[in-house]
Amino acid sequence: MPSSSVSWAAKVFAVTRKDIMAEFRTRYAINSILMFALVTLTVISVALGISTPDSDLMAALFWVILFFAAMSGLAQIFIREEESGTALILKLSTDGLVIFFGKLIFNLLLLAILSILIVPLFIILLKVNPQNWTIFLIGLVLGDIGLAGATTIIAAIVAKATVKGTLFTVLSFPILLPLLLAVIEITKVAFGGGGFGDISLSLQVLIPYDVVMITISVMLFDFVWRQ
Amino acid sequence: MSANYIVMIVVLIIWIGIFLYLLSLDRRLKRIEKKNEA
Amino acid sequence: MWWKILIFAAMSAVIVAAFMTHSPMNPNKSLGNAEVYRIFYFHVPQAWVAALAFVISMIFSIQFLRTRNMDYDTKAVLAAKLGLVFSILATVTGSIFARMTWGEFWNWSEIREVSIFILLIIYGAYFALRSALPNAETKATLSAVLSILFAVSAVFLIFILPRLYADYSQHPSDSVVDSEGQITMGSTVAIIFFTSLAVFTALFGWIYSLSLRLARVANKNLPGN
Repeated sequence: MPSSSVSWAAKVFAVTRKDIMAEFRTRYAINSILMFALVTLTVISVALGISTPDSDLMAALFWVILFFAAMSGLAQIFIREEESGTALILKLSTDGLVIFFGKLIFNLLLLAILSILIVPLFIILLKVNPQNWTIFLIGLVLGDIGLAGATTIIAAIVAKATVKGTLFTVLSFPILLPLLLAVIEITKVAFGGGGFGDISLSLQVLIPYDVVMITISVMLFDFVWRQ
Repeated sequence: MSANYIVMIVVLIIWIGIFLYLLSLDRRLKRIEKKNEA
Repeated sequence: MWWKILIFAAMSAVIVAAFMTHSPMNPNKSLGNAEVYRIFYFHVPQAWVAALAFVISMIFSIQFLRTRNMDYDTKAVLAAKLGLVFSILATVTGSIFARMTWGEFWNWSEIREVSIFILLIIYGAYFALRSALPNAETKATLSAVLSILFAVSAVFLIFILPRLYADYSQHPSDSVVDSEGQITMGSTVAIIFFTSLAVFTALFGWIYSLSLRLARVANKNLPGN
């Protein structure tokens, strides 16, 4: 079938579009992610008060906010399917890979919205001034891809569990740890001022991490999804 | 040096306890396995 | 039967030798009380068994996904359970060792302490997932997938951690072998250490086979399980 490769991308976007529409109806994931980020940011800026901690600490705080905000909402995408009982129909209508990439793109969009809103707020409220915007944005983009890429399959796993509560965070943390360590290093360099030479090691970890995690997820996704 | 003896004896007692427990577990398992076969 | 006696005799001999021979401390570069260094004979083999159990659990998880044979799932879980016990032991002995030599129970700039802590979290997450899943089949599949993801993450950590923490680590990298792979210990220390390593591995094997037989017996006698 020569047309199948074209329709494959179309199928993926159809899944993403369906999820965006479902999200607009309830706005549950986006609300919880944004409110969580906002609350954490407020707590941190109020607690810090007038003191200005060094840029290393700010880099860590930035990723702590992003990590926990992401944890509060990224699992919704599969939990929603299981709870509303639509998982079975989705399973029948298309194959696992399409679902995986559709959901991955949706989670990436969520993280992009979160980043676009949280970065200006973080910079204004905590008075940090990234010395090197290019490095900061590279770290942010690669970090978001890694966050979404590694946690989409975890979200699928968690959706099958009877108690979902904190399980998503617990399972994601060991998997995201290499990503967090590398990306915090990059953000430290971006905040403190430094060149590309300082982040080469972190990039050596981060780029393969994003690629490998998405590849492994693709390989393993059918086991989870067909369960 | 006497403190070393005390620690050594405590560790030995713990080890003997673990060993005897494992041994008895082994025996009981063997008995049940034989019963299951029969 | 004879190898059980051998394990018993060898472990007893290791315990006696560990406390009766000279301390394995290297006076040129080590701190603290020399007697404390005897814990080395137990701490390192425990950490080794913890890592070994993790790898075994990983391999059986992959085997399960390939064959869908529930036997492999049992093997993977039991290896993980034993691995958890041995990592707790290694963490506790290591922490005591650190307190007596470096002055602190815990130090986050130590790569090996960070690694074992991550190993504990991985085991914790693995069992947290298993307890939250409804039936045996789902449990087996999803936890196998999860442990593969953990293993991939561990590979990245093995790459990144030493580079991030290289400047601070106080853990000797040459206490067993040096950079050329030569054994650095004195001959008495080396004999006790490698015997201990072998005995701990054998002990792990024995407990592992016991728990496997126990699981099989329990499965047969309790059909409702």
